[in-house]
Formats: sequence, structure tokens, C-alpha cells
Amino acid sequence: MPAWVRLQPPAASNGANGFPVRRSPVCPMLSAARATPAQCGPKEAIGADLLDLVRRCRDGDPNAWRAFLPLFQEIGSRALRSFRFSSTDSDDVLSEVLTSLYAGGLSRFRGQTLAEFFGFLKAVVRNRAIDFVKERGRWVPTDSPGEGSTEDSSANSLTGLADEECLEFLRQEVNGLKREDRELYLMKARGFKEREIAAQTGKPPGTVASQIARLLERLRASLRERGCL
Amino acid sequence: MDRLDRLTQRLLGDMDRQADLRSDQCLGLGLLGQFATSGLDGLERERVEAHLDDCLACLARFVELRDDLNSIAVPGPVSPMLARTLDTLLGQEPRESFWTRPVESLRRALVSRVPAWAVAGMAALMLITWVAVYKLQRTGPAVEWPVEFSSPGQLTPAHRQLPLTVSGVVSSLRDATSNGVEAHVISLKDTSGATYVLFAWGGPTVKLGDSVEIDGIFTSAATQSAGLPVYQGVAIQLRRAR
Repeated sequence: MPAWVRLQPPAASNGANGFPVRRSPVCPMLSAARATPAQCGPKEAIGADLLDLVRRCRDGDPNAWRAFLPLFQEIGSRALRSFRFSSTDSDDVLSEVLTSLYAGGLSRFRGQTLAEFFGFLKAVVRNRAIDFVKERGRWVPTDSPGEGSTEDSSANSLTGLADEECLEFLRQEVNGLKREDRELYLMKARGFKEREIAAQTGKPPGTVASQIARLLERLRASLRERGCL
Repeated sequence: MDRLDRLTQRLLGDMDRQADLRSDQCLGLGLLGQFATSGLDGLERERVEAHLDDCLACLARFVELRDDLNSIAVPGPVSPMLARTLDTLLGQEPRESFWTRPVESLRRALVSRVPAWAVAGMAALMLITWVAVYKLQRTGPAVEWPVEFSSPGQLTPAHRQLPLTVSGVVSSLRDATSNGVEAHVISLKDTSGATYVLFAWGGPTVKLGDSVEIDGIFTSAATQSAGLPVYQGVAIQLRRAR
């Protein structure tokens, strides 16, 4: 049996690092509308495996593709967060990626774990999204590799310290935060919506919003003290 | 986007590269995946926890991975466009009827390419322009009207008008019906030889040679300066003379 990662039923109330991990009690991989219940039997109900689904997709199983579609959409739309596309543009990009995966692109995945598959899928989606914005001459996210912001030089002239120093200072400040605050900062930086953060942390969205606001204000104050803002 | 946002994006980019390059020091994706799915026990789990406490790059990956896992546990509804794309790929006819495709194309052409903020901005601009023009029209310099409409008693005619009753013999009758409004022009001569030409509403009720009395409104001056005078006006009431 390949060493793929299986989704486990909730072993405890909390996941790693104390935050609850939300898991579905149903067979998540086969929750697509046209999957047959027989494919999601009692033993498979929870342990149904995305990598197995990928293998079946590569073999051309139409039901597998239908079951794969909602999962692909979830991961793909998360990969597109930083691009701030409209839903229609997101659909355009994801449709093109889906077509390329169907045309053989899925066979290029050589990994053995679910996490590696997520990485592969997100890389494909982001690359297509970058092509999409280049074709349309639109904004390109600054966290895309090789697509650094051109505004940095002007920021340097306005503030006393160079970006490199401020970046290092920000890294130290973030490293000095509590683990929970660090995770909040990272989720916010990755473009998570507040309700998504709330779902991950198990806190009300309002609490999350105020926590993040306080956190960012603290970071801004520290950067201001150092002459970075 | 302020400087903190820009620095944050650079920090994320650095961390992604660091996690890719320092594979010997950072946790592998497979291990992080096992950790995220509670697939690790004992010492291994503690080791990963300790590493995540220290390594921002791995923590960033873990946060993203945990979100991915949560997302596939409860996937949302599939967008119709993606479902259609897959149907096409699988060689099946789309479920929509033939006319939904052009409608969808039109919707996408109209909706997707113009950002919502641009539409809202344009609408706000149009509203402000309209309000400004309306206000300017209202608060502009007062226009001098020749007539005070609010008090009809002050209306003054362009020409002086005389209410008068004249009597004489009808000398001519001419139809003056126009645009469906029935009217006629009646002329009569009085005993002094003066002629009165009157406009009257409706059809004629008298005929040539009849002696009539007419209540009318006349202009102040005769229309000619030489010969017998000719007066003109509007007939208000017409009756046969006794």
C-alpha cells in the first residue's frame, strides 16, 4: 500500500497546536453529486483517499473525475486567493487547469502524499493564473515568485530604513509572537477570510477580527518605532 | 497596500523559498500532512510541534495545509461552469438548454470584466453630477419673469382690450376651423358704417343679412388709419337683435 496520507476521523477534540480540525463525518472524496453510494461503503466512508481518486482519474474513470471536481475547486480557489479574481475569472482559470489536467497534466504528479498533491495542484493553478493576468495585463500578486512589487523603491525613499532591514525586523517581530498570534498573522497574510480563520480557530468571527486588528496594530507600532513606516 | 502588507508578502515569499530550499532542516510536506491529520504519535509529534514553534516557514506551510485539509472535508457546491467544463471533457452534452449558453456568455461579458468598485464609482459619479446640476439650476440667478404668475389679478395683456357690445348686420361669415377645432369669423357693419370682425368659437348660428348683437372683447385701436374704421375682436356671446 502506498504511503499516502489518509484523512482520519477526529481522534480528539483538538487538532495539532490546540486548534480544532474540522472533519466531515461523510465520505468526503465521493461527496460529488453523481458518485454512487456503493463507492463510499462503510469502511471507505472516512478513509476514502484523494490519492486513490487521483489514480482513478488518471485511469479515465468518469465517476472519479466527478468526485474529484469539488475537491479540485476547493484547493484551486485557495491557490487563487492572492490574485483577488472575480468568481468568473476564477472559474475561467480553474476550467483551463481542469482541462489541462484531464488532457494528461495529472500524470505529471509523482508525489506520494496528500500534502504533495496539494502543492502540485496549487503550483499548476498559480502558474495558469499568472499567465492569465499577463495575458490580460492585470495586477500580479506580489508574493508570486519573480513578480516583486515595483513600489518598494519609492517606499525606501519615503522611509528611513531599507526594505531588507525592515523585512528582517518584521521577521523577528513575528517570530517573537505567541504561536497562536503567529498563526493568525500567517492566515491573514495568506488571504484567509475572517470566517475561514474563525472556522480554523473555533473562535467567533468578531473575536478573530478584533484579535487580528490588535495584532496588526502592534506590528505597525513596532515597525513605526524602528522607522520602517 | 501599505508597507506592512508589502513586507508581509515578501516575508511569505522568502518563507516559501526557504521551505523549498532547506529541505534538510525544514519538515517535509508528507510529515506535515501526517501531523495535520493527527497521524503522528509520541516523540515524532513532539518533535514536529517543537519545530513549528521555531520555524516560521514550516508553520506557514502547516497553516496552509491545515486549511486545505479542512476545505476538502466539506467541499462547497461546484460552480456550474466547472461542471459544464467537466461534462464537455467527459464527452457528455451539457445539461443546459441551448439558450442558456448565450445568456451565460452575455452575463460573463457584462459582469466579469468590469470590477464592482468601478460600477459603484460610476453610479456614484452620475448621481453626484445629477444632484450638482439640479442644485445649480435651482440656486442660479433669479430669472426676471414679465408676469407674476402667483397672482393672476396682475396679468396684463399685451394690448389694451375693451369689452363691448356691438350690433349690426352680418356682412360675411367665414369658416375658421383648424386642427379639429371648430370656429368661424363673423363680420358685421353697424349703422355708422364701421366694420367689426370677430372670431367666434363653434359653428355659425346666424346667416348673412341677420341683425345681431355681439358681446365681445376688442382691441383698442382700429386696424386702419384711413376710411371707415374696422375693429377686431373675439365674440363672447352672440344673439339676434329684436
